[in-house]
Amino acid sequence: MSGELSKKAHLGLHLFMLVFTFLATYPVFWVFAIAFSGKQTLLLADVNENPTFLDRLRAVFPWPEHPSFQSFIDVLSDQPFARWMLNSLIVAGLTTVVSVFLACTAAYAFSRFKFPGQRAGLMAFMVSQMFPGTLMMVPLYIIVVKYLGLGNTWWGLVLVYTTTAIPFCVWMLKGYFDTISIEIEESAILDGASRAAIFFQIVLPLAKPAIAVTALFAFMTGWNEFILASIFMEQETLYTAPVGLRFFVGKYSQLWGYFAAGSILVSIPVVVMFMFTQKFLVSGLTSGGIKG
Amino acid sequence: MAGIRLENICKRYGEVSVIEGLNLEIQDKEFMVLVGPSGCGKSTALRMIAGLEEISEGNLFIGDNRVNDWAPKDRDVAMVFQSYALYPHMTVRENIGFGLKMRKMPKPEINQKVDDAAKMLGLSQLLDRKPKALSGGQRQRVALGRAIVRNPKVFLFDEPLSNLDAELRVQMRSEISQLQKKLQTTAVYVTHDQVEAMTMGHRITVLNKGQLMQVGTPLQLFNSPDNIFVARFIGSPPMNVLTASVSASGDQVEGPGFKIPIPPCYSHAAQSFRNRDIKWGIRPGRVSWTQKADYQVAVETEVFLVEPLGNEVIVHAQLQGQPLVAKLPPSCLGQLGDQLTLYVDTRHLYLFDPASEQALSLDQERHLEQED
Ligand SMILES: Nc1ncnc2c1ncn2[C@@H]1O[C@H](COP(=O)(O)OP(=O)(O)OP(=O)(O)O)[C@@H](O)[C@H]1O
Ligand SMILES: [Mg+2]
Repeated sequence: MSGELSKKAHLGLHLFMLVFTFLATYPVFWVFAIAFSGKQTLLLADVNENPTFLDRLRAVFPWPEHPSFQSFIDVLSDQPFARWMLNSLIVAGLTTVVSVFLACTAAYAFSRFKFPGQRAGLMAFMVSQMFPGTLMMVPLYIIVVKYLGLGNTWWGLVLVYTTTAIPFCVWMLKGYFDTISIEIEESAILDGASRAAIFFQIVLPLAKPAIAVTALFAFMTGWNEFILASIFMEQETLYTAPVGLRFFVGKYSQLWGYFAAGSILVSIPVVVMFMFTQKFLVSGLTSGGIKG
Repeated sequence: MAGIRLENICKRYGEVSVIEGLNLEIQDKEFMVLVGPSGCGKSTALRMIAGLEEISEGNLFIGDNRVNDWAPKDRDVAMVFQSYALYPHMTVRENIGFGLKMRKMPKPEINQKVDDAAKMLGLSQLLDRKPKALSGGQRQRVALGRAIVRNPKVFLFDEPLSNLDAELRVQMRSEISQLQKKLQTTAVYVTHDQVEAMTMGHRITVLNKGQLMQVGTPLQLFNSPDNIFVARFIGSPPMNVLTASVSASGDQVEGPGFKIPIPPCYSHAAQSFRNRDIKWGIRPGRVSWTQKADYQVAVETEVFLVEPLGNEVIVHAQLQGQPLVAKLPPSCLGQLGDQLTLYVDTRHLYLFDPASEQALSLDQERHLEQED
């Protein structure tokens, strides 16, 4: 790369990127503006009959007329939104723990041991990722709700989310384990470490970046999912946050303020987790780089 | 306190045979070097001793025990890998102490031993660092520390110096030798570098394609190679090996451009090759460009490459189509033409059976009037 772009080209490039950044973030600003408007409409400002240019500009500028926390306060107190967030947290948390644990052990086996069905197993994981989730809706409903009787329970969702998350997690972790030098493990074998000691004291600590990425992925699988949660959970107290959000804007209600405030609340945990794991994201997604 | 004995060891991967009937006895406290070209099975042999690789056939003894079926950790061996294989997430102290921790040694004792090992290797200042923050040589020392701290019966080294630069390699070479001497632990050291082999080994085992070529002290291998492979593998540049036939009288080898008398030590063995093809060898150091004595026989050669190395000059020449390499003093530079008369020291002639490539047996000691 030559850093010798002319000043004009530099300016043009930045302008170009600014425009696209604006286009990408504008809806987000809009959501923030609605959430802090304290009102339940999609409009931020009233427009009179013969609007001047300034009036129009004011109408599309994402800033509330009277900023307030009212929607946030109401959504957490008047509405059972805190409860729904908690449900989501429990479901996504359990999904994360179970998927990461199972995926780690499975991926380690796939990476290090030779056994019949090894290739077939990995391929099956891959293939299962190729079907759209909605295709599985009916069979999953029948299996989980009708046969297993896990409708209206956290475990029903955890089971489904875990099975959805595991294939990706296994591929991700296997890829990472493959980059960890076998000689390191052999060293540990000669040092007298058992298989379990090697796994927990050598391999897992080394795979931290990949585990962080898979954990984030598993968490988001459970945290964001809407369709299955909406058909599995019929009781209002058991709704997860995405289902609850949908509940605000439906046929009978248009509570955009609550919807916007809720959306922001829902995204906070993900943003926080992302910030904690982002330093791992690049290294985790590229690969180990664990050289002596 | 343990010797190692390999009895008829074989290693196969499915159909592929990697090591075929290897017999080897390594004495207690000995520094044995395994050497051979890439892919000859050195690492495989070492890993079978360590227990990292299953033994397909044969018996392996460490001390008095047959250890074929013993788990690696029960064999009480320590290994240093080419890649060092340090634990990247642990400090130097934790790296060195890991083996002791796994063996459930109490913490204060571990610390004591780690401190001692670190002191011996000059690592005391670095104990709290992670491997990433160490230089290649320092990492190598940590790997050594991890091996010595357990005081194992056997050290195994798999090309531990090949990732270091030339200078450091020379230094670590002597450090490892001294360490082994001090600790009196049996060591098996794999390398493909024959200089390492010659300088470090009490004895050297030469392997080729999974087969044992020769075992002996460095000088034995250099002075009396059993076969063409060892003759050419040990020594640098490699021994010249040329094709010829033995005269009807059986007292000289003849070929296009040369007639060289067979030294007395071979006079008996050469008889059976009368009028037959034979291979003869001469080390480049035994070919000179001035004649000092009558045991030096002149051959006319054509020079095609001259490599001045400072303290010596390697001259690549052709003797009627057969390559002949000579190691000459630097004073010859500037006086080399395209045509060069070289003098072969017949006392140091080697003879090999062209079919089996084995050295002919000497029927008496080489008698060398006076070493030059
Ligand atoms: N898992 C395996 N399956 C089949 N062949 C193998 C396997 N592992 C090693 N080999 C073969 O065994 C032979 C010996 O390998 P080994 O690693 O012992 O060689 P080496 O002498 O250590 O070579 P280098 O100097 O390159 O390290 C090689 O030809 C290699 O291709
Ligand atoms: Mg090797």
